Amino acid sequence: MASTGSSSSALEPDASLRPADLVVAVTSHNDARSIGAVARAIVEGAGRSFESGAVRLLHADTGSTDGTREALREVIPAGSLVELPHQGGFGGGMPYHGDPGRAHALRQVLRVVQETSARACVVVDAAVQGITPEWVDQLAGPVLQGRADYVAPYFSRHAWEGALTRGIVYPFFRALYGVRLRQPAAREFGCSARLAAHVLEQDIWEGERSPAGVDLSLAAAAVCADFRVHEVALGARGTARAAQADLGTTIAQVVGALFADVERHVEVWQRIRGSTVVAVSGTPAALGAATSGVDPAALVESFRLGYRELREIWARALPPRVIVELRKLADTPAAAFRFDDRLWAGIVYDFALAFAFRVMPHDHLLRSLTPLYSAWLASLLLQVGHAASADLDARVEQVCQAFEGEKRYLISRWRWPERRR
Amino acid sequence: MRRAGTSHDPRWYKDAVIYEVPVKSFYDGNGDGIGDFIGLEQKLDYLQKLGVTCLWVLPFFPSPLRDDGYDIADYCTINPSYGTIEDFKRFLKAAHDRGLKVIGELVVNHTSDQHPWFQRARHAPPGSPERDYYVWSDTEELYQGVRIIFVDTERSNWTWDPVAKAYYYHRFFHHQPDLNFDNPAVMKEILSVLDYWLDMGVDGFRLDAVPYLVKRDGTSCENLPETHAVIKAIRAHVDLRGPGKMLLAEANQLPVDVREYFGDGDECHMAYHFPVMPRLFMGIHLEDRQPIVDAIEQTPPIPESCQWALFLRNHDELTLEMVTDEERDYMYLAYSQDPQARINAGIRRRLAPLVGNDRRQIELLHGLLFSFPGTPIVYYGDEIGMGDNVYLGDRNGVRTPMQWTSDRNGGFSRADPARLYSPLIMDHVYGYQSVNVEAEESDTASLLYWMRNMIRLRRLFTVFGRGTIEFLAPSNRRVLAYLRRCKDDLILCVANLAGSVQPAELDLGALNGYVPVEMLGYTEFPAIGELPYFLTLGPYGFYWFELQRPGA
Amino acid sequence: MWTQVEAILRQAMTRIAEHIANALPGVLVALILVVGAFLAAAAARALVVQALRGLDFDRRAEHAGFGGLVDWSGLANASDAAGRVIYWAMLVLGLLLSMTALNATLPSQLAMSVFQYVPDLLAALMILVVGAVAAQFLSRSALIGAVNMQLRAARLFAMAVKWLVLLVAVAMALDHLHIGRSILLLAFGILFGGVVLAAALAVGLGARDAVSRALERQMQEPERRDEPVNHV
Repeated sequence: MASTGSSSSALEPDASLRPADLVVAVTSHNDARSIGAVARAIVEGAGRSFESGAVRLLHADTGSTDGTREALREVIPAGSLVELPHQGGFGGGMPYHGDPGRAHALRQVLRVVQETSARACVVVDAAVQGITPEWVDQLAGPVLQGRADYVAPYFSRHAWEGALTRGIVYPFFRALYGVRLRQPAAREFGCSARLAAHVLEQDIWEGERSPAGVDLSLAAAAVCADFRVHEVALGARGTARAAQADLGTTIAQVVGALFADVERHVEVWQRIRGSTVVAVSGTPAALGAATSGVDPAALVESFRLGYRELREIWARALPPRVIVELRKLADTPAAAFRFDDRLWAGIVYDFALAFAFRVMPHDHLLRSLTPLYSAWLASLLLQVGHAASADLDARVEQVCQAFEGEKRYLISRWRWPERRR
Repeated sequence: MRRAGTSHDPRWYKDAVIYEVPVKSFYDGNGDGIGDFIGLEQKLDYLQKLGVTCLWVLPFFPSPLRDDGYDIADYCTINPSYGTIEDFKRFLKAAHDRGLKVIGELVVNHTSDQHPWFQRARHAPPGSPERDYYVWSDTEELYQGVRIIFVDTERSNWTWDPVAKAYYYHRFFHHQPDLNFDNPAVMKEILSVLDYWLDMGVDGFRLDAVPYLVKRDGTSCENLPETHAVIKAIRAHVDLRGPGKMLLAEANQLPVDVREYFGDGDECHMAYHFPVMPRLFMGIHLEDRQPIVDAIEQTPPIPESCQWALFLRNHDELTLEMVTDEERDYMYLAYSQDPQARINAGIRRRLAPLVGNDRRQIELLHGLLFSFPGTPIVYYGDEIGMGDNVYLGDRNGVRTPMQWTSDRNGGFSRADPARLYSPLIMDHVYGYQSVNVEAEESDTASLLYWMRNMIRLRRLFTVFGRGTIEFLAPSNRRVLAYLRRCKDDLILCVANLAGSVQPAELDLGALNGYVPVEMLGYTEFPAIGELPYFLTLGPYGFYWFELQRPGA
Repeated sequence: MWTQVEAILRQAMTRIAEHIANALPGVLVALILVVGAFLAAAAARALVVQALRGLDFDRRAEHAGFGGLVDWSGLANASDAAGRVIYWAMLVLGLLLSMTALNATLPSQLAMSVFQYVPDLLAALMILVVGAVAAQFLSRSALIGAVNMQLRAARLFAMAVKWLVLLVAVAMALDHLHIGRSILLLAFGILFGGVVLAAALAVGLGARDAVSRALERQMQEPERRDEPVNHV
């Protein structure tokens, strides 16, 4: 551990792909505003914890047009940075939400890990806010010390932030794959060379949905192949990137990636019962009470509208019993509005089944989930919207329990789709 | 559903579900009344949806068709009725694109008497290499005491050839002269045939009639060491072509003799388990598990890389060669009251008519087939419960056109019904108007849906293909119970062989604390305790339980 | 007199026979044409169905939201529907062709004009089919999108999208067939003009307050937009 404090000492001045211990990759997409701060933190973090020449810094940009590359070059000496070429494809000029080249970018990063025989790799998204120099060591440490193959961040967030992760991704991922990974779709993570080699062989890199959910697919591939998983508390996460997509599109991308992985790993998840705890290093920052900018009443209203207009579409995915439950919910006044956890879990599973059995175009199916998600979010906010982190965690734990409990329903319908329709 | 890795595994045959399909009978793509590769290619989606992973295509070579194509007149082309070599290549590519393996037939014991080799041999002078492609003799004295297989049609294994002025040897029909494997030229020819199809991308071969390849006077001419040497040479040649190619031996022998065809893992990858099939039917009819348990327990262990192939019915008769005389009598009385249904030493019927079209027995038999150690083979049409026609002569009654719809010709062909290679099944119970794919696809309670789900389920658990089997001994002999085990996977199968409700008390003491989860509906049952585990089974009911480790 | 009657009768008979003899080859040709058309139509149907099945058209069509159209047509699947359309189209053409052989002036002119129409007809048909599929798909997309944007009139919006697409498709198809071009243009103009005018009047007179309130809300909204919630 050299702590010379010199910011560029850890970076190999010659940026050709010579062997290195650690590969740190910054991924970006129009992040000229924030990439400078991220890069400074990484350089400092690498300098503090690693010896000279041990760290290789990569930049994988996915077709930025706002001078992101130039902004990074201002911070990093030209020779110390390896810029990975961007794949054309979708990026050029097409109004595409999310970033299309991310799968390609990550794949290139992992290939560099192999080529340089690095022991570990850390990926950080340039849009992240609140990064500190410690992140580099925190994400790479467990891998380099041989304790983990995949290190995911554990960010503390308010009830209205990251609710899609909390309400669908985390409980679903945990119930299916049996690992309590809180942020499986995180864009910052650490991974071992062994895992990099494994995921490069998986078929997660091409396909209609991988651009948005490649991080999720990567985590699923790691968990399904029994790689050791670790979490690090990294404080609060903010993003400098304005929300590029509306809620429907976001849901379609994230949940679509989640569901696509379900088909990929059938043999694994059908056999797993219960879930195991993931070791966390560091203490998650406790967030105080705060007021949200999200109005539960408006969410309830959008659910009611959805119930009125999309009921026929839902009925193709959801069993009659659930539609009747939703009807009751739509008639409930906003003050007493409570979305039952088991009902919610069942709905998400039914959508996963409808996705697998292709009852309608995937895009329609996933987008029609939006009002239901709004209702669930409204219910969550009404219950623990202003509560402290601990109460929120307890609430999410209940949701997860419901997902684990209802998993048998998913399995039995998956195995015998004609039953109970 | 895509399953990464499965089709690239060199041991894919251990987890496969094989579908036996005659090109002739499946689907007619060009409207000439005979099924062809164009038609088969069009129906690949159906097969993929059914969930099978491998197609075993019955002989499709040019042939006078006096033994359903097992009399081959040219090994390296396609019978023009079934299409061209280009059609075959397209079909093969389409199958591989869907992750389906394709295995063909290598009928090397004999050729058709129309094969150029035989025509050349009979005109060649005695003693010349051309003549020696086949087995000749001036008398019928040689190889006395060798069993005649087609007792109903052949009186001797020798037939006089007026052109050659000598007798030629044939183990099957008189129009199928046996090749002479003592002649190195024959072996060379066979290996080049093998290369031809492997180059095209075929994933394996069924070796027809392997026990009879080499003949020696004074023996039964079956299972000779020289025959094993030939098979080893074929295997070595196949292995040179890289991993993932499979050889399946058809040796209608007792398991102890069939065991030899696996060698030390250096002969065939797979071989049929013939005795288990008639005993399944017998066990169900007797409502007694003993015949089935005996059949499995008398099976010798096989090398780790090898696998048994299991089937309920195939394109031949339900053969009773490998059972005792008493058992054969019982089977005749039980399953072929109609003497029309008997042929050679067997019964020429399909699965559904054999069990009186009882859906519960059909399901039970498949339940056993899919959960016994080995790779199951499904005969085309049995997934929809097709019937047969015993009046069609030879075994053609179980080779009628596949029934796709209730339209003309059962949707099999658009040709004039009179042009079809065989009439369809038209009776009131099994006729194509009522039993067809289209009808069953629109009925979610149909046998077809049931088969799809069961095949999908079986494929989820590699323990069925790779695990060990261990029978339990409940006091009720009508209940068959066994454990399948492979590494951490443990599965309990319980079947009621009787047509009435039966109780079963299973001694599962060693598994105290395990939780049985019924696999079809994923229902948790009470945990196993100290006392015998008690179950009640409906008529012909069967359960598959995943045994989940306590505290997992 | 009898001989005269007989002569006249005979004359009449000969004339009729002559007429028949003249017409007979035409009838024969017409018959052959009809039979030929029938065969050709059947062959074309088989070919189209085969080709579409080979292309996996049914599954694709269902994916694309074509299912509704097929349900509505009461046919088993999309390739059969396409096959049937082709079949009848060819049969009708065959019939018209056979009329020309009968030497009837009116039908033959009709037939000729219809024949000149065929390419346009096919193109128009294509436009209609594509339009119907697109309308179904887009209206569902619009409905879900509108609900997610919390538009109260989501269903109305979806219906509007559907009928607009259908209407445009029909208009395009008719235009392709050169049927009432000017009328069509006029009708479209009147229709759209009317709708816009009605909307303007409605905003101006009836819903003045509602609209101004909505606009005010729109103006105030941006404050909240600055703080988008990150759901992921």
